[in-house]
Amino acid sequence: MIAYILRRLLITLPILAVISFLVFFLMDLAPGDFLDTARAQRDISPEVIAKLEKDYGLDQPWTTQYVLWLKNALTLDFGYSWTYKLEVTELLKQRVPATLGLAIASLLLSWMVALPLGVLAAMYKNSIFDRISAFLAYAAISLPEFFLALIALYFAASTGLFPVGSLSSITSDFDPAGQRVVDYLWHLALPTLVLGLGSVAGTMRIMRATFLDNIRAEYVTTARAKGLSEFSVMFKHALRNAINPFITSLGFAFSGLLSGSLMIENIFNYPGLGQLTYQAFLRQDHYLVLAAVVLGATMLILGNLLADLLLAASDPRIRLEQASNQSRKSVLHIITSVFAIALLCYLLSLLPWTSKVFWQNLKTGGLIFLVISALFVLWTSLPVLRRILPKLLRNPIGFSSLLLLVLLYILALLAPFLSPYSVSNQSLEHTYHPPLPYSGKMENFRFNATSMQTKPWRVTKVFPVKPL
Amino acid sequence: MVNARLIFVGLLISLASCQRLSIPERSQKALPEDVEISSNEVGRYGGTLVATNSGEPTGFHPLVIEDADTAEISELMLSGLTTQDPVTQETVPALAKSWELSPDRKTYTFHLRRGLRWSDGQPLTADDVIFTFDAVMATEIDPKTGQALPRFPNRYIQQYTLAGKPIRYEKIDDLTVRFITPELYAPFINDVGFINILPKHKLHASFLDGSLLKQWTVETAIKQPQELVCSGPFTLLSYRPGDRLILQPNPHYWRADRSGQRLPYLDLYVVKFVKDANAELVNFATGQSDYSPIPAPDVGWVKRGEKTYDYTVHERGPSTGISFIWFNQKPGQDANGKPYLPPYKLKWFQDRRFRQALAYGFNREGIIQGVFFGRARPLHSMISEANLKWHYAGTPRFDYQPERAKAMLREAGFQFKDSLLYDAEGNQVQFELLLPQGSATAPQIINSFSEDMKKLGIFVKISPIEFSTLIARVSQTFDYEASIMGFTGGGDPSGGKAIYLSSGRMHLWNPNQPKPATPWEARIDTLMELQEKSFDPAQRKAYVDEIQSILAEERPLLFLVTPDTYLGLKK
Repeated sequence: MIAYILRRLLITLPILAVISFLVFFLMDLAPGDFLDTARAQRDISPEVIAKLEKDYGLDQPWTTQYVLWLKNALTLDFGYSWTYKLEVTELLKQRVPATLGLAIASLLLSWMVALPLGVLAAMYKNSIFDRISAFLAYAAISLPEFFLALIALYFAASTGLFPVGSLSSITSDFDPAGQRVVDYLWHLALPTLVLGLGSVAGTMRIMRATFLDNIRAEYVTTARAKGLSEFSVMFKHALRNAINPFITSLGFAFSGLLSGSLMIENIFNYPGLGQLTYQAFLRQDHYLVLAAVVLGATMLILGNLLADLLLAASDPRIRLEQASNQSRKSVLHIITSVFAIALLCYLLSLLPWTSKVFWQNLKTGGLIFLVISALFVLWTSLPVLRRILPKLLRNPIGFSSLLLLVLLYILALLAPFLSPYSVSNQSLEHTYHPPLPYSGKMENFRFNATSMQTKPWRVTKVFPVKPL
Repeated sequence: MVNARLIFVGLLISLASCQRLSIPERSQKALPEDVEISSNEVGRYGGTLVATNSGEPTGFHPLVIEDADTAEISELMLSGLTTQDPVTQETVPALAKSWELSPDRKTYTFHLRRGLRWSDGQPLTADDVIFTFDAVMATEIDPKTGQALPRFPNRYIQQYTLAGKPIRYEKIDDLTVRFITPELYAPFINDVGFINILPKHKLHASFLDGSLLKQWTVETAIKQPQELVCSGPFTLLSYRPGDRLILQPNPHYWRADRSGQRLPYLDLYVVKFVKDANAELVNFATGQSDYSPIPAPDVGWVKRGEKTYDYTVHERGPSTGISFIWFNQKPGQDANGKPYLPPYKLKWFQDRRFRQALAYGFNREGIIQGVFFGRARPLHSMISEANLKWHYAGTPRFDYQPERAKAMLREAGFQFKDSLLYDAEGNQVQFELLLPQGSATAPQIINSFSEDMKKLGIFVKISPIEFSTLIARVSQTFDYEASIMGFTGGGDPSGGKAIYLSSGRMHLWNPNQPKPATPWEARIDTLMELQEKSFDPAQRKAYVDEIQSILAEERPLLFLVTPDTYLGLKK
């Protein structure tokens, strides 16, 4: 068992190396670098910029930078953030509690709501309650998270019942501890709800299915025949067995703890890891991005390991040692293929004709890949489709929903032509932009946007110190 | 499950158990003997001001500061020797009470206020001033090349180096410091205040061991805010990145009101960090912050909430920034021997009549009405009219006269065929304009511009581009034809040397010239030098006026419009 765990942990190291290699490579492809802001200012001399370039190692080719980083990373030194002039690990540490709080709260919410609902839906199968819950679950699953978040923000801004983002109230630093906890919870409410809602729906449907499986099982009949009360049959026998898969999924939930809320944090202005990472991306703060990605990847790998271990612990029929022989092969496969891809990328980048332009135009290739994979999926699911299509067409609801689905797909395909703006006319900065509470205006009208301007700090020198 | 709940509760407790802050008591520390008395109305102590900012401070060390958001916070906490009056742009005393200029106009003697103290109670003396300049100007020898390199690279080195020679400075006594400039340099009084004075008693050790720039980081601010010793109106109470920063009054600040109460009146100054400029506005418009600048196009809807949330939108007149479209005039070729620009295009862009004609053919009034809803005015000069001290109203103006524009183009050898414009050699006049992302008004302005150009028979291709890529293309590879940009403004024009001088790095249309390419650029170079050496304010103004006139006449930059600025204030 211990040997198994050790082996799994050992494998993570090369995986992390490859991931960081790819991240480094991709960041090198992005136009510009961290010092662009400094270059755009009129009073920073070229000498200072040259010295900074040297200090940051930006004058070296990216491969040299990477090797240096890897060497330091092996001694657990992940570099420091250029923006904050602070150890990367220190920065991440500061943001972990907020993100962890959000992730655990949403996990608690989704389980505490979803499990009972799933059980009820299974017990009263096909009742009106079951139908309504199924409908709501599908609705929740199909709503994109960011859209839900925007709606929640709009709700908060227009009713004032909930805070519009951030971690705590302005005055919370001056409040007694009890009040502060309440304040945190109040600020957590909306992000938690948004983050948890999608998984509530999914978890509930799974719970319903496994519970149904179990109450149809023979041991339930046996228990009933023994004369046990319905309550103890349902909750002591069936529920215990039905909950098994969720113990495994705890491991997967673990992997998402720190990286699952990036989008939500950005929309809700919630100062967690996700926000930090996103801003580091925009600023091209290499080491911070790398550390965040490595952290996320580590959590994912550990989460998978945890899931396997939990599964083995909860189900005595599963033997890890046996499975590991197979999984070792597949892991080796993954590692070698990722290595091969990374090597190929690197070799390609060495060729003179594969300039940056080539890589930046890779999206055309992505489109082709998408079409091919779509065709593949269609081809594999053709037999199934052929089987259910006549049934669907006979059912009026099925027919109309199929029609709607086809319509939506066509619209999605034509989206670039239907939209009033060109595809390139968008900025990453505005991607997660919440709507304004007034008049539904969603555009940023600031001419003096930071990126547009070369802000000399000197202007702010003249700050009037007047009683306000 | 149980475990998760336990962890969650534990987290909450750990979040909440961060040291509880208390509202600072007003300590009646003695005022310094040379306290500055504010001329404003006497106010009352108390109150919390909640401000929002979309950018966060990335450090608290004045030598490290790279961006305006960080500088803004730093300005609240530290003072320099002199400062600028925000309205008149005149240099006024700060830590220095007064100064004298020697007859040869190169030696400045500054007298510090008597009785100045840092926020921790230590005296602030000439030693701190000398230490600060030592830190700025320190050099070290590169072992490989033997060159002297800055020991602590920072943006002030350039400011305090004149014609390649650093300024000299010496301590006379505890309250007196003398500065000697190597050349005649009139804006020095203004420039000397750029650097905020650093506390020697806190930073000297790190200066000696070379870790000076690693002090006063975000970490210091989080863990030991009291270590950031201040001389400005506020000191740091607490900082939580991504969340908020709380400032409290500095008990040793050097300004007081007429009744002898030490300023500032505020009990707390809270800066709340939000995602972007739009979120700042939303926070203000929903009553969650106390003040916010309001962009001109948004004034309409923000005003609607005035009654509900009890705030007022004040008009503050034109913005100090300038914005413009410009053409690449860089001759030469890149490393592969390919010219930056096709030679015939370079010829158009270098032709003053072409630039002037385009200025005449550009309907800026339409932009003012369509984009800014009338809350803007055309820009006529390099220095915005908000800069009362330096703006020159007499520059040549290019108002919308499409017929005149066409006539000028014909005069310059261009010809119209089927309502399209061709140059004398038969090339169709068209160019690509790079549109940096991150602004919502810029695309509207550019669309309007390209429509106007269509009427002149000119085709403008608009290409959106990342801002950092634009900077690289404009300042390093020079492979572009035209673009749009803005500068924030204000202050003394000598701070814009990198723009005005033909050798400057931000001389956008043709940077880093070894020697001036045109007579008018040579004239600007001369005028810049003259104004720096002239100590007569009226004479300096006259030189700067001439610079503005030349730039307006030659139009290397097609000026756009100056939006009005608005400030929302809660009652």
